[in-house]
Amino acid sequence: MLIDTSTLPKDEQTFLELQQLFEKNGYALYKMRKFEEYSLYQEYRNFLGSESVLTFQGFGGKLMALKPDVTLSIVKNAKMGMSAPEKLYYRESVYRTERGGSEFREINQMGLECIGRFGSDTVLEICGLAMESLATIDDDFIFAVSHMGFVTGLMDECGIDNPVAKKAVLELLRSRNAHDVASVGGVSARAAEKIAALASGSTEFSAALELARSLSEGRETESALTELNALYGKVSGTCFSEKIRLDFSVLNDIDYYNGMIFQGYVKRVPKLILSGGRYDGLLARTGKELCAMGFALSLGELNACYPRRVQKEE
Amino acid sequence: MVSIALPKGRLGNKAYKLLEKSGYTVSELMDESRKLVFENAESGVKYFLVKPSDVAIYVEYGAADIGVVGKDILLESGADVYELLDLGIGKCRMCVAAKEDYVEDTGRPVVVATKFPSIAKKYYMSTNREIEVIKLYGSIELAPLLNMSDVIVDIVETGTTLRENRLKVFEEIFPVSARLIANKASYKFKEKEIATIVGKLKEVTL
Repeated sequence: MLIDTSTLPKDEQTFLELQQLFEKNGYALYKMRKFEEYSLYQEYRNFLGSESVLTFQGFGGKLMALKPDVTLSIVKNAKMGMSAPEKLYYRESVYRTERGGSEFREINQMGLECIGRFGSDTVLEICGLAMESLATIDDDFIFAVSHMGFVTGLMDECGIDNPVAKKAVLELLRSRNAHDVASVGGVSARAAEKIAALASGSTEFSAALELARSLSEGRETESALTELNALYGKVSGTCFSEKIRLDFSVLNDIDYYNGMIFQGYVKRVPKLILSGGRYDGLLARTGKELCAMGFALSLGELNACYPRRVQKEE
Repeated sequence: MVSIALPKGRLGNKAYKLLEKSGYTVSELMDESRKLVFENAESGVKYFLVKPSDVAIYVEYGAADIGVVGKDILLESGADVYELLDLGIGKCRMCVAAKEDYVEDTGRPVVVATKFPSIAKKYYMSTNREIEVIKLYGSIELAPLLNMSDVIVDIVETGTTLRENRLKVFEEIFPVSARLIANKASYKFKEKEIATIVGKLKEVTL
């Protein structure tokens, strides 16, 4: 019997289509256990961005946790060769609390990770796969890119070195808040002007790139802009050229993320559904001098916004 | 069409006046009706009138694209939204206040009555003081008068209520004013329309 996939719930449909897409691009399915030792998450709490982990006592008294995140498990457990990068994809449940909430939720996630030695081609390939993944869900999507190297480089060039000021500036950029920048302690008037310009600028790629170039004064920001420009060059002229934005409100933890980072939205879902980026910093923390990049999609958010098509009896 | 959540009451009326000056009018909005949704297809906006403490929630969940909310409520809710503009209206201060003759007993936790438990906890965490929070929904000033709490954490506009109840401000935590906020996903798809509203509002708030 042939199954009509168009009648499946949206998360299942998306999984099947992305599975094909990822495997066609050389990614292998990585299946893992539902739990890990709690100490893993305690050590990398900032990477998780949440302090809530669902714990239980394992055999022998060891404190275990239901996975709040997949990337950490892959980084810890995957066999990483020194030649070709490890290319893996997964579909797993993770267990977290909603922001501000106290109840744990099971979150249905799918994503991919690429870990090893790779260059800019792989970075562009992963951005391309993220865009194709969004297009699989809905043609009406936005792919918002940013670069941690540009933002941290700009803060260094502006002389913002106090960790409290850095945190405050990142928070203001994240909320596109230009009006409170001047009140952050340890930020000069000129630096505040630059940060405010970045926070309030348009996200239309070429305009944002132009603005970022006018703010750049050093090698780190320049090299980040070269990478962003290469991505724009690759996407320009394709069917995704209208979907990509350069948005410096897309930010992540500066200790773990170092290069291109991105987020994806589809019009029918009023929430973030895809996020990812380059996280060499996490590998460095584990003592591995390797590159790492990936993204995760929240499949569970889709079903509420894409009602299931019911098959009518003939 | 951009949907805008406005808080019911004084702040909402002031915010609407700014939007009206910017050209986003809906004639019946200021009428004494019980309607909650007002639309003007010509200017491309739809207004929702909601409880002030719910504005950030409507925007965060995408029921409204943008909204007007006090910085006090925004910080208390912790909503993950864009904060695009300080509208400069509804100005007041978030303060710690207590009876005029209050002297802090540093040998025990401070008992704090407040409508803003998250803000109070964050503030006292920054001062490394342990507190007990009593969450109240109104007439906060009564708590120290009845010895239910040592201090209150609340917004202070002119200070008249405090003075009339023989209370005074001991610490100012942060200044408060109304902010224009936006849903992050909506902003991605309606950036031009929202940026136009922000631009026009900037002209009338400067």
